[in-house]
Amino acid sequence: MSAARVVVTGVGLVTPLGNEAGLVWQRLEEGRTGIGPIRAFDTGGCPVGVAAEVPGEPALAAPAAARLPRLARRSSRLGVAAAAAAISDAGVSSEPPVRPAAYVGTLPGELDHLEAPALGRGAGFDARELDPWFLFRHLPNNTAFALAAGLGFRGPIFGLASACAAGAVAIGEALQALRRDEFDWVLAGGACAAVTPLGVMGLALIHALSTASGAEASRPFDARRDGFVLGEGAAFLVLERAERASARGARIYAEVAGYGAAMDGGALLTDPDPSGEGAARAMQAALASAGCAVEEVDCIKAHGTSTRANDRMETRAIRRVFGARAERIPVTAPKSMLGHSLAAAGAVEAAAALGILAREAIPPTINYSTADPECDLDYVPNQARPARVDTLLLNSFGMGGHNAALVIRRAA
Amino acid sequence: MRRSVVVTGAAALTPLGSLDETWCALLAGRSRVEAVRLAGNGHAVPGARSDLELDAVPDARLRRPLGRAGMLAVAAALAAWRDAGLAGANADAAGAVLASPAPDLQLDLLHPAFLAARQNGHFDTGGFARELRRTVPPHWRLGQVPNVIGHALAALLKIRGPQLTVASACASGADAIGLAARMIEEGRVEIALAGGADNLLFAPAHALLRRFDLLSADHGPAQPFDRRRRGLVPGEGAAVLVLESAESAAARGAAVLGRFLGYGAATVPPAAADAQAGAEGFARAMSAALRDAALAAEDVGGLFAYAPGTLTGDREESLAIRQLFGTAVRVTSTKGGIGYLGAASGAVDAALALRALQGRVIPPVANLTEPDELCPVACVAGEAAAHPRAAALCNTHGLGGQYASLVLGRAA
Repeated sequence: MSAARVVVTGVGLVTPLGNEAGLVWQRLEEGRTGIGPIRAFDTGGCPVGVAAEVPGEPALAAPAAARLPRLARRSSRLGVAAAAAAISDAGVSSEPPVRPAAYVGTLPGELDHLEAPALGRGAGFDARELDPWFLFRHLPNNTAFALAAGLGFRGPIFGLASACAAGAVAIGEALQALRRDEFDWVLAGGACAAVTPLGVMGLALIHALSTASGAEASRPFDARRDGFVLGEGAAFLVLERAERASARGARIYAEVAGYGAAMDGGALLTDPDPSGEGAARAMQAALASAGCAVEEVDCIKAHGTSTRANDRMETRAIRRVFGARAERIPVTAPKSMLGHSLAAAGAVEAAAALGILAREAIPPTINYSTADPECDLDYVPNQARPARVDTLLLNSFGMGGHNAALVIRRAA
Repeated sequence: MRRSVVVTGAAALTPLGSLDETWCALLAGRSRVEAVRLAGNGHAVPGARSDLELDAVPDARLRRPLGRAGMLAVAAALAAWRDAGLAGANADAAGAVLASPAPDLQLDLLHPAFLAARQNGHFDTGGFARELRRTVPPHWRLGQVPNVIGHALAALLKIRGPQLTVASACASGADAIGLAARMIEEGRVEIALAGGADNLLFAPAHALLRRFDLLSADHGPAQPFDRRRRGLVPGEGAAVLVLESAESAAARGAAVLGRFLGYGAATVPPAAADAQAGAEGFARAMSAALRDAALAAEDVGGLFAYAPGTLTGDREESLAIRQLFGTAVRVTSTKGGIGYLGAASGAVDAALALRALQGRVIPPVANLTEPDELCPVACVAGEAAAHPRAAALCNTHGLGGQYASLVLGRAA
């Protein structure tokens, strides 16, 4: 018996390139970058100067606007905006007996430097002087709280904190739940906003970030790459079974056809397994889940972070799965334009990938100029490429060796 | 076809010791509360500390980023894996779903950097960056990703199938067991570790619990359902179960400790956080879990309540239990004995509920001597009571509006 088909019927995005799917798709195709000098704080003396920030914050409708600012951190507010847009786009109802649920990629919050003075009044952080809401904002389920409080979302909300793979894991787990017929529709995605002095410096401590200046700092698969560029963003998809979507005459963006996850197993948290074996197993599991042969994949949305280790590992992993055919599959890395929004990245890039199918064009990997002999695939350098993509493989890998992959297919 | 899920291993580390020790102590009505020093500010507060061997995690590279909650989780997972007779088994395809503990930013460690950044009301990023580099080790940042526990399990036990890190605050432990059971039911994995750990004995967690007016005011233990109860006693601990498909357990001749029968989760927007809303959250989660187990209320013999010993929390839950079960179900709370173990609570209670089913006896609520008539349920007070029926239910609730219930069954 084949698994039930699950489709995307709503998309909501908040990204450095815009907050409307059609616009973001177009800008990605044009090779526009969302990366620039950090505006959130003065970077003088900081080794990292660029990020992909979301300008300001999208306006929230009441009651979210009134309730959220004190208790919801920035990433949660971005998440609520994206989730509200996705639900409205899909036109789904939450009224009983409809059974909604949400799967949310998330991380603990990043301490905002503006909070810091309030945290340090007493000697040694006296609990009585500490802002009691500090931990509430910092908890990884703050976004779940914000969805419940801000949108009145009443279905179960599952927060998933699989580091940088979390957004894709959320979509994958939603697919599994819908195949089980546990819910009628699922909101799946993630939200992240870590461009603060501590967010940036924490990642600089483990040498994850590029120290290059300028908007070209994110150059996935390029020989000169030296780390990722931190990004902000949020994206949610509304997923439901194909027969339900058709019955209610919903717009269908695409089918989420498969999901796979696998762990590396190495002892070092920061380093992915250089052989790419764990990542390859995730891709193979996703293809098996979709009932999809390797020959059917006609585009890969790479995790492509622009770190030395990831891009080399991912290239090897793709070769492991696709063999000689790997060189003929276009591989695109949207982090070259959107930066890396950690727990949101997999969801933001899944929302972006829907545009590849819709617009019949593969956005480029920008800032690519110097070939790396260890990264020797077709990365769609610098120029979008017209192509009809029917089956897309999406990779999303997290620190700690959490690998996830999704198969997104043109709806029949 | 939904597959049967059984429990083939269990381990816990609580303030009352191992799972065996905790079970015996609870049957005898014992509890453990002492003055403990909060991490972050050194204040002595009433707390429930667990004894943790410092070499519980054998590899120093894995140990450093874990923190106490992570160490407890890994130690419990290793013990559960041994308990299931899986030591040395090939775990390549096994999964794991672990709770995300309350994230401790270690503000005391960051304090010098924030002090250095404070320049005439302006944030000096350069000073902050320099001081952070000088005083904060890189493993601090690694410890901030909740999936660090899953990474350690992949490295130590070679668990390399799908792994999830669940973030629903104090409901995470029960959600982890529910989501892991789903993975087995749908055939994604045969074996999955499920559970979690938490440590609430750090300054920001204490400040948040105090702000919600949830803390026991005196230095006494928690007294769930007692009219004199004053609040919860925060603690630390862990429990992990090995869940397995019934086929896999039978094929390898594993001892079956009990059965997973059902799981339900619900969200209630905390905007409406009055007694009605809390009762509604518990009621919806319990109903969903019973429906999932295809059981009626009268099939359940014992109920391990969330009841942390807070004034309103215990009452709201009692109303929900009364509404669904009348007074036919025997109700206990482990929090009188072991304190409030945050995200670990749901997993610890599940491990203890399996003991109750095996031994046909349900432990009393420690420190309950004057039952509150506003909590109109049949609490087990003073002495342990018989538990003849074949199913038990466990409740949890997480700050932020999330509720989860599990239904467990006696081994056939």
